[in-house]
Amino acid sequence: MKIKFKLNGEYVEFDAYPGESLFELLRRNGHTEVKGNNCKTGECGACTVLLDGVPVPSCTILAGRVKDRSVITIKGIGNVEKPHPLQKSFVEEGAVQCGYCIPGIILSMKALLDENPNPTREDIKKALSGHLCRCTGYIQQIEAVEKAIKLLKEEKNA
Amino acid sequence: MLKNVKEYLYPESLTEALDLLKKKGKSARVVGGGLDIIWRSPKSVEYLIDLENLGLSYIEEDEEKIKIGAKTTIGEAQKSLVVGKLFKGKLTKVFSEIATPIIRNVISFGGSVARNYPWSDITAILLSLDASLVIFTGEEKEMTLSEFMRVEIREFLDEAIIKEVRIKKFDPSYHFSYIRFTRTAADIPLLDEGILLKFDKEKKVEDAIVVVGARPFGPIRMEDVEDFLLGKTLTDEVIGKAKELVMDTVKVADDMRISGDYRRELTGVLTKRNLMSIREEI
Repeated sequence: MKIKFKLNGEYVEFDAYPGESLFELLRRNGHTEVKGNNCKTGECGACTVLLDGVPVPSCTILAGRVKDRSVITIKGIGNVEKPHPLQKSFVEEGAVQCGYCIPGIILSMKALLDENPNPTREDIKKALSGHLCRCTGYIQQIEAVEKAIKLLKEEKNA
Repeated sequence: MLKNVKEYLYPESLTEALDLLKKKGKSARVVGGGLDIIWRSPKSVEYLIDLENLGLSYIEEDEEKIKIGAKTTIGEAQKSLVVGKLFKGKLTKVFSEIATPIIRNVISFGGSVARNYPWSDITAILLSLDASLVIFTGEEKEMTLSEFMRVEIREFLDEAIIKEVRIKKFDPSYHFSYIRFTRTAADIPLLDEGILLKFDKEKKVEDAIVVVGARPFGPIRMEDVEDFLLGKTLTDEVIGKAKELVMDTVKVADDMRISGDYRRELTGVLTKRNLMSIREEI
């Protein structure tokens, strides 16, 4: 079956198996920036993408559900030349080690900041709670989000 | 991947969805959030019927009820101002403790009720709120969740689709408390309990619902305890007796996660904590 949807801001049409997950669809079509192992339970949060702006584990989403909707992966919010403030702050604050969990975490944090530009530390911790990180730990990540909040405000006021 | 799925279908109306469901029989499955289907990946499923185009993601209110569309997620309910008004935000807090934020964005109300897993927080919470369902069988009809849980659900849903969940707009004389006991915050409960009490002006219990779930059997109303609480004020003695009564009458069992004895002890602890939490509010 053909599935047309908006991927990182541009319309795409992929051939999909009717019973596959969004994770499988994206990986098969070269979007290896989506990490994870298709656990189908959303266990670790690494495969998180934004579906119409809402963070969801792509391994738990049937590919057919994204028809005519918007999907954003980590590549959709910035790149090396022009990183999103969250990507910049995660690197600068040492919040990335192996990097496997980071795309999912940054997308969840983006959704948090889009909804609430001034989250408390508790809000950040809660939003992080669906994401497992086994090497960096969470302190630097929380600090990176707090730095990104400042960067976003500076961007807005510039 | 669900390897045997031949077609992913997007009906444009409930009537069309129901026709497809009846036509395809056991080889079809309705997609709410899809979490259960993708997790289980049943080999028998050949057709997926997605309700995406039917506008079933909503939370509305009228004078008496809050209406939650079947495709509405727990994450959406958690952010709803309508839900936030109930029990001074306590229901919002309860929803925010289920699973993790990203999984709450996938779990749908309709899917939770349809699968009716014994460990489901959603069904235990809804049963303790005396929720009802709007079922589409060619026409819409309302039935209580209690009634729904007494039918053979898998058979029933071969010819019916859950359209909506309804919760009463409880006035301030009602108080609610729900506790899920888990190994980790994101885990499914080892046991959960919800209590809804209505108080009169003298702070005596006028109406009571006590529900224990994940026993490991599904949620059930503790009618002896509900009857006991009627007409009582929540003194230490009453709370102690209610705790004993729950422990004496609840049906629990061992499973791979914890023993029945441990669960029985827990029912008493959760009952005491729930009743004390409510007493602090009244």
